[in-house]
Amino acid sequence: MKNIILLIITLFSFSAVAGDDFFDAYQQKINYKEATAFKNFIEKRGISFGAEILPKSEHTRLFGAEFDDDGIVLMVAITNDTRYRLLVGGRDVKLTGTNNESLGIEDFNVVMDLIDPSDADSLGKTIFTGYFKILSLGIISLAQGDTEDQVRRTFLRQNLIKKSFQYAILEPGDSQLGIVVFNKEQWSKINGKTLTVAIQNLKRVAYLNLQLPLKDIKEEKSWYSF
Amino acid sequence: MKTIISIVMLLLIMSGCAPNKPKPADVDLRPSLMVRTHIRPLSMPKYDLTLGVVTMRDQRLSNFYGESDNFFREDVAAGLSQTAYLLLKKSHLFNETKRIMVRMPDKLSRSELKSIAEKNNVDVLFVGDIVTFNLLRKSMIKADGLDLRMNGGQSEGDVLFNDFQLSVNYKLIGQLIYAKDGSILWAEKIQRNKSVFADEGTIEVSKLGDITQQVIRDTMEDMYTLINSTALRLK
Repeated sequence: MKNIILLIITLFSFSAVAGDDFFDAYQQKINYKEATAFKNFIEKRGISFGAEILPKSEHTRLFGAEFDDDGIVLMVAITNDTRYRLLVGGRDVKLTGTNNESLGIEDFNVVMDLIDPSDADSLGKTIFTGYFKILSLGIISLAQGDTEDQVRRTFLRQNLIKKSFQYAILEPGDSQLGIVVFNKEQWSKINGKTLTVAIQNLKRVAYLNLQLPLKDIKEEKSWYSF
Repeated sequence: MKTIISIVMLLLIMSGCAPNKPKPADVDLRPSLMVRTHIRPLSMPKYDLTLGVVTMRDQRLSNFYGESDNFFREDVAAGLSQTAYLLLKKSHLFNETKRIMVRMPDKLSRSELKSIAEKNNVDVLFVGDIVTFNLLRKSMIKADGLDLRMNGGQSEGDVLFNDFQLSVNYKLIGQLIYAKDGSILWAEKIQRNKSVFADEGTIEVSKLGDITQQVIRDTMEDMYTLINSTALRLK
């Protein structure tokens, strides 16, 4: 009986430590796509603004697991086909409605919780993994390293910072891509959804407001559909 | 009963073995964001104008580490703004440099910039955006057992390995705006990071202060070089 239990423990442990989606996802890049290649895009004075709901398959490829259903994950892009440098802001992306409602992007720590790596392992599995490590590597080894959850959380945090739609200078001809996340409950309350962003010209202080209607936005089957 | 005791013991051992994570030190012991930048010899300034440095806008997605932002004596935006002011003052790029304790809105307006400049008797405004100012802590042992540890040095023939990499990242976007007409003389992104290896998951307060100040100093020196060499001159 003891042998069977030990065998089960060992199998659980191996399954928990073999391969890691969160580390692999960290190495993955957002595949380049100009704003004009998005299903939903607008173009105004040489600047294009596009957005799509990120397919679930891309959640796993880019972040290691699917986001919780409480969040709406959009991939947005701005392409600069003007002769000027532009300043685009990640936190400047807002969702507005026909009744003047306005919804900002989710706080970073909330986004972290939407894809909590601890969901990947049950408590029992974590304990078994730790037990296995103590047996095989010794207590000192466990003390030196993080648990799997902590390692995943570290990679996820860096990955989310890297792949979020960031505040950046956009050179002529270049595109800025990244994800923005909205609260699903508040998203659903807004009628006539429009994604807005204010872009600053870096020749002289002036802004261009881009408004992208999201009337029929739905999850695409693939990121690669043009 | 024995089994229960064994499980409890096991859980206690595991919780005791958890590595230390960086935490803010006691208020009195926190490092400062103020750095001493190079003092440059007095020379003809690049601009025969007065510069005003306003408080930088915090555009970061995440706090310094996890949910905490209180690792330093100063508020992040206020501290980094003061450092930018000190660098620009010591750089002698402008005739005179003033610190303006005004936090700019997300959307700048030419009339507001002009009004702030007139009120403070300055010609040019430095508007900075803090894009990243984070501490990243990476375990060098991957979850599937791959050992990424670095050789941290040798002592009496023993090779020491470090289990964690801790790095401070700082990215800012700066703009020099001629307030009279809103034209932008200079706008660039400057990014620096510095890493240290640690054999435990945490970092000593003094070490955190040292590497943070080094990153800020390097970023500021880059900013000086870029403004000095690439900023537009007024005709």
